[in-house]
Amino acid sequence: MARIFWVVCPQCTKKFYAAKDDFRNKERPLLCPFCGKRFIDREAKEIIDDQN
Amino acid sequence: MAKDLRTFLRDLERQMPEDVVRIKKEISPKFEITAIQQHLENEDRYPLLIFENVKNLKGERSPFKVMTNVFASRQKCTVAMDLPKEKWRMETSMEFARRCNHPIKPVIVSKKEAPVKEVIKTGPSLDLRELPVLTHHEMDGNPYLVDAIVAADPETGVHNSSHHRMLVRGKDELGLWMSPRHLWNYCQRAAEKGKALPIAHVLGHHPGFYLATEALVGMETDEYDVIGGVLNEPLRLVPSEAYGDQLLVPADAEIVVEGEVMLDTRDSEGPFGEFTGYYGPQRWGPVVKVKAITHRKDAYYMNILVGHPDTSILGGIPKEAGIYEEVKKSVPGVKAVHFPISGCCRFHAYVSIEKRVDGEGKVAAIASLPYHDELKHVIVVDSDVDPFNEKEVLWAVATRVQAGDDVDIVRRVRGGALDPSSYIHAVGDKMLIDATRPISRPYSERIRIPQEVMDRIKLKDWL
Repeated sequence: MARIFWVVCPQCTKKFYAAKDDFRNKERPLLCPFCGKRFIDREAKEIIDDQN
Repeated sequence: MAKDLRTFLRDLERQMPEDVVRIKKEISPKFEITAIQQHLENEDRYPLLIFENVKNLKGERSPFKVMTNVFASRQKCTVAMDLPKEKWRMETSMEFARRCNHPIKPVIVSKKEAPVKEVIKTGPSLDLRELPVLTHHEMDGNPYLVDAIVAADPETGVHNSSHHRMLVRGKDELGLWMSPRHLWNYCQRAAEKGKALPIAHVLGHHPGFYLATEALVGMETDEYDVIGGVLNEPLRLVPSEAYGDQLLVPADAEIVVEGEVMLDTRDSEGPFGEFTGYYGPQRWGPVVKVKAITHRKDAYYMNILVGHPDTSILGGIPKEAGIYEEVKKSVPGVKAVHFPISGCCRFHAYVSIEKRVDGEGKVAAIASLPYHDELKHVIVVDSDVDPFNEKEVLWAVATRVQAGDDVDIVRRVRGGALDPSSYIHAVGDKMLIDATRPISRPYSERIRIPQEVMDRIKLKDWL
């Protein structure tokens, strides 16, 4: 599977994951599947990544 | 009468009336329908479900009934192949393969003859939110269309049918994610010419349509011919509303959503609960602009529950006979191939053979591997073990395998794009297990009650 990173939504604080190649440091808006908030990765409340 | 979802429902009710359940109580398409499916699955029950009072995405009562679990047991697919329900094992897979090998050209009918054109919505009247589109799992977040997408090759006009997830983003916009297979190739070539690719999502048709969609055929093959072969009659097609003859759509579908893939316009899509039982991650996928929705007046909205037997079995049956034919070339004694639900009907194959010489078990395992890249683990058993009975297969592994001799691992081979355990995208390891008895040395005998006594002592006479 594509490599993933977890993000915590800055609005509802729920966690979901996205493809690293598509969103990490790309300035592309993520879409929170729980509350619909759009945000780029550096705006996330928390990012859980493998650092690679 | 042409085969469609309704003729299948009649066939199913004739053979397995207890396997069709109608629910009249009002229900939301967001998690509530899939919750009922999950409760039933927890009890190992998989009836075809028809929800007659479902809300649409605007919260209004939908005129569409929702049908789901169409593929959730092999017996239903057996009925779809016009076989008696008792022939649900290898007979169903072999009949599917036989039909795939006898393609039938489609016929084109007029709009008047096409039930799917009874209601046509284009322009401002078009609104995806009027459909009772299901949201399956908690992290999906959004409703998804999940049946089958048809498209025409931008150069040859050959039609392809394939399964892809499509997020409903608004009244006329969808999000799409596709693995790099045929549809993806069509999109790339259309984009090279600066064009968007017209596609149609076919929501509800005879199950044979969707089983044929899972057939592994070359890109030069017109899949409408293969679908005709599997239906055992010509598929009736009609020009699409938005693209005319450039994109032909099934005339006997329940609902068709037409649109075009804009590769240069992308947005976030996903996560989505995939066939693996895990969520596929959020992706940056192309936007699909919807141009027309056509449907029958009293259409069923068919949904395939991804990540559960409904989608596993749909994908498994078409691959079983294909592997059987591949193995037969080198191991003539191959008896049956089963893709079990425990392997999502993609990752595990159980192959049974009438072994003649030592080493043949490994040949059967090796021959199985190239057929489909998602296949990870092959277990080969003797013909006294039923590959459709997982308990027997694992008993054979327990009692006929020494890992040092009988297990082989092939590292870093092309694999499934959605396998969550692979750490390189679409690359993974394969494991071959030869669980057959050796020929060249004496081996312990399997216990059994004398057959004569088994035949004479009947349970009904004693209990």
